[in-house]
Amino acid sequence: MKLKLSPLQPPMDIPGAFCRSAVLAGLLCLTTHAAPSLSFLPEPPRWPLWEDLDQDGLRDADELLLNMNPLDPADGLADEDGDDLSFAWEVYLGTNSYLADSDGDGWSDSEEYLLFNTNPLDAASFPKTGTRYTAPNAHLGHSASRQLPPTAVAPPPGTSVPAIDNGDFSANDFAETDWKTGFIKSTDFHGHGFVWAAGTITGWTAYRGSGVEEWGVGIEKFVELNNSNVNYGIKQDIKNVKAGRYLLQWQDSGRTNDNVVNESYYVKVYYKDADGLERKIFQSPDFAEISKETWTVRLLSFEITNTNFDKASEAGSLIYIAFIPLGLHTGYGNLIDKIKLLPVNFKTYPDKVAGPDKAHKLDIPPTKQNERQFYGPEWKKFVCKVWDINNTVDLISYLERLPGSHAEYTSVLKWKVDGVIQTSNIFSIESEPGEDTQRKYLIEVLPINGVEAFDRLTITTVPRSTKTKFDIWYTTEIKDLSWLRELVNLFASFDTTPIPPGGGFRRPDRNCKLLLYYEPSTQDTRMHPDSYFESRSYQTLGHHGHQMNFYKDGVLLRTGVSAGSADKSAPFPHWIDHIAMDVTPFVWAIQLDGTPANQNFKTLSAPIITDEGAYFKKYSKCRPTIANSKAILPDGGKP
Amino acid sequence: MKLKLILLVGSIVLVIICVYYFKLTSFNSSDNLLAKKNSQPTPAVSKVDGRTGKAPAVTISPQSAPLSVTIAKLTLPLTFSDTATSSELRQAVARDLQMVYGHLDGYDILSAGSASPVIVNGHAVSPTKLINFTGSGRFFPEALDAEIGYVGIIDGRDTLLINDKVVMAYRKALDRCALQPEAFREIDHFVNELNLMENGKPLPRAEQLYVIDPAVSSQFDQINKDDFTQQFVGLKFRAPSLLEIVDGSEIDEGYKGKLVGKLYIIAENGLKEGMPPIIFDLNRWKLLILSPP
Repeated sequence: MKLKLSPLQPPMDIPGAFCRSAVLAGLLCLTTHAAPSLSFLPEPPRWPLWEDLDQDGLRDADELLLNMNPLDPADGLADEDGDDLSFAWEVYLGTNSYLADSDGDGWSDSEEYLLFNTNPLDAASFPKTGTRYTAPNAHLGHSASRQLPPTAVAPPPGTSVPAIDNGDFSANDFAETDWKTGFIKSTDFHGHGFVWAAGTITGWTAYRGSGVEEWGVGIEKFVELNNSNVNYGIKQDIKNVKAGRYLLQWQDSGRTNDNVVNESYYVKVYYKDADGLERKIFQSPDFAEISKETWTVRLLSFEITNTNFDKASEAGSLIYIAFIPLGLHTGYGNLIDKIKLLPVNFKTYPDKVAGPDKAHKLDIPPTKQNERQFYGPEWKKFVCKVWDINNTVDLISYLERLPGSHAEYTSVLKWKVDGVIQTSNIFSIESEPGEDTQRKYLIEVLPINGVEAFDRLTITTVPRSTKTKFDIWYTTEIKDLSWLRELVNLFASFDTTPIPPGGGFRRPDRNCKLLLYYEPSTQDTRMHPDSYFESRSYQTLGHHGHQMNFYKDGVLLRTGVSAGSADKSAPFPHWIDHIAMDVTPFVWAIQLDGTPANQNFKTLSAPIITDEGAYFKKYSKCRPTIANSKAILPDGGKP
Repeated sequence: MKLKLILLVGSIVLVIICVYYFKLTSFNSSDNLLAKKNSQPTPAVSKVDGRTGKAPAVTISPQSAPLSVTIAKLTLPLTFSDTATSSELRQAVARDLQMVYGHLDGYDILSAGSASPVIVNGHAVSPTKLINFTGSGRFFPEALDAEIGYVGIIDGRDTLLINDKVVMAYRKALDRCALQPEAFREIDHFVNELNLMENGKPLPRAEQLYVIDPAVSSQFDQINKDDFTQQFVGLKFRAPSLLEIVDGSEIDEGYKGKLVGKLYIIAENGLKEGMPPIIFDLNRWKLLILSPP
């Protein structure tokens, strides 16, 4: 159920506890809200259009205060921590937009605020369900984990590379008329039409020497690639660069004077080591025979790795890009304009950030499934896309990029979808996959003039029903976890001493009763990828049971997808209920976390890709890996 | 020469038997499904392809024995890729699609995107739109995923295109059928047997109903098989698609050479998955009890 809010209603009322902590105290005035339940993302807070031009839920004045873009709804609607609350909501509630669980009590902000009406900023206030999930950051405590307002100081994703295409030399084309003299464009345009002003190009300095030469027509400016004793080449320092693949685009033009031989030049990307010496990251071939009076667009791609920064200065990830002329000084260097540096990497999010549409890295610790080999070493990024009626995907939307830079990418990239080249960034994802299944597409992004893929992404699309059914399952199950109290003890470990041939398989039940014990094959255990032994407890009167999975040394797996979990309906004799209530929701969860696998009889068609995905975490709240406080023997205890 | 002729005739007879029995299964099951449907179709025409009204003027002589399917009250003639050369295969496809899709009660009309054309009587027929069938119980065999729903216009009429991939998948299924025709005959009996289980009446003998995987055999012995069987009493089942009866190696190499399949439960609100797999063992279908996921 969505929050029922009229778009032009005055701001809503948030309970006092939250109002008190609103970041923009004094600016924000929040009133009441209805008690909602959580099935879908809540709509953003609504303000009159004249107060919130992009209608992202943050008033324009607030956006300006937070150094955000009041014309871009994406920033207010972003949900960086995947807790189903947009940034706008997090600001108004005073919760941490980078922590799904701001107060560290084991319940996400949205669950507390929308589902149970408990205080997401008070660790002592949480749903009383009889069980408590221990959040990884719980030890930090509420106050230590609070960072308000988080994104007011943290750079938004993708801004690590400053825009080089700044307003100082963004000439669109040759001007027809000299702004100052009225001189009409002629063959000697380059020699006479421009006004020279040295050393004023923002962000650029001479590669060697005292300055750079700026030329321009009116407000259109560009730079001359000097080759003199005092000014030689140009360079820009780029800070906070992340490792990854980049596209460098610019245009050049030679000068008109018949006596000028336009010299060749090259591009170098480098960093400086602790001794201040240049260390090359990338060097282009020489660009020669520069066309006169014609802009030629150039495109280069290169990769920066983390090792490039190892010996960098205290600036950390600082690199330099330089355009360096060759040959003797002639007095008429080439003109360079419209330089852009575009990162071309598929963006990934931490596992705690929920998909769909948020790619995760293949981050499961190595298991006997050998996930990296299964998917191939190049295929490390996965994203789930819930199929929708538009049945199209904008591939650029998955790139880590500068805000507002979408258009920059359309002309410089091409794509492969399942190995087939396509120049459009929009592709159709066909019909809706069948119920409980997913369909995968292998996406590669390449430079328009190249053959080597920059990056790869596996997109899995699931039917709409998967998310709807999971949300309904979760909101229903989370409300009553009292059955977990019935479950019997689990066993922390068992004796794996080999037994003589013919003695049957080892059973860890000398002093305990287990209903089922077996040693699953590699494929059998894809739902628990690093499990070597599996057993199930006897079931309770309510037919509940607990699955236990053990590592090869006999120690109980306690967390993550490899661990067994509580079964609300034990499989024997209630097989159908077990599949419906315990197994299929697990498959929905790992699919929504991005795993491109279908349920295949007793296993999965492919390995799971993340150990602690956001949907798996929700699943494990309802089907915990260790059901209750009594459900485990001390370490080393053996049955 | 005589031997070859006998083998050829024998194969043809087996295929005809398979198709005949599958027809019975399919019609029975889809009738059950359709009988349970009270809801009206909800054609959500959300996105209409711009090319819909500009179909290429293709005139193609009708394929023999025109077949059609009715899904969400839309009756669509089927147009097969030229690779579907036998009428038996075409009829098997039509019946199977009717069973798999026939209970769905809504659809969206979408752009066909850049879907590949289907070669029909030597002409390339490009899809003009994509019908996305909606409703409860959208369980489709993997081989049909993203292949069914493309519509082309032939002689001015919308027709559901059946492409090479689908034809090939059904051809392989019929080959499996020809190798073990008794399995395809028996599946109908097995589904009926499950459907007729009633409370208070004698249940099938356990040894006739189950194959127990060695990994769980000793544990399963502890289960009262009557208790286990009780959960299936009173439910209504649907047979698998022809494409979902596959070699047992899909489950485990140990079952290679035996056919396995999956059953569906016909529930009030549509189809459900969740049954144990079934396996053809000693000339009858049985439930295959594996280690539970």
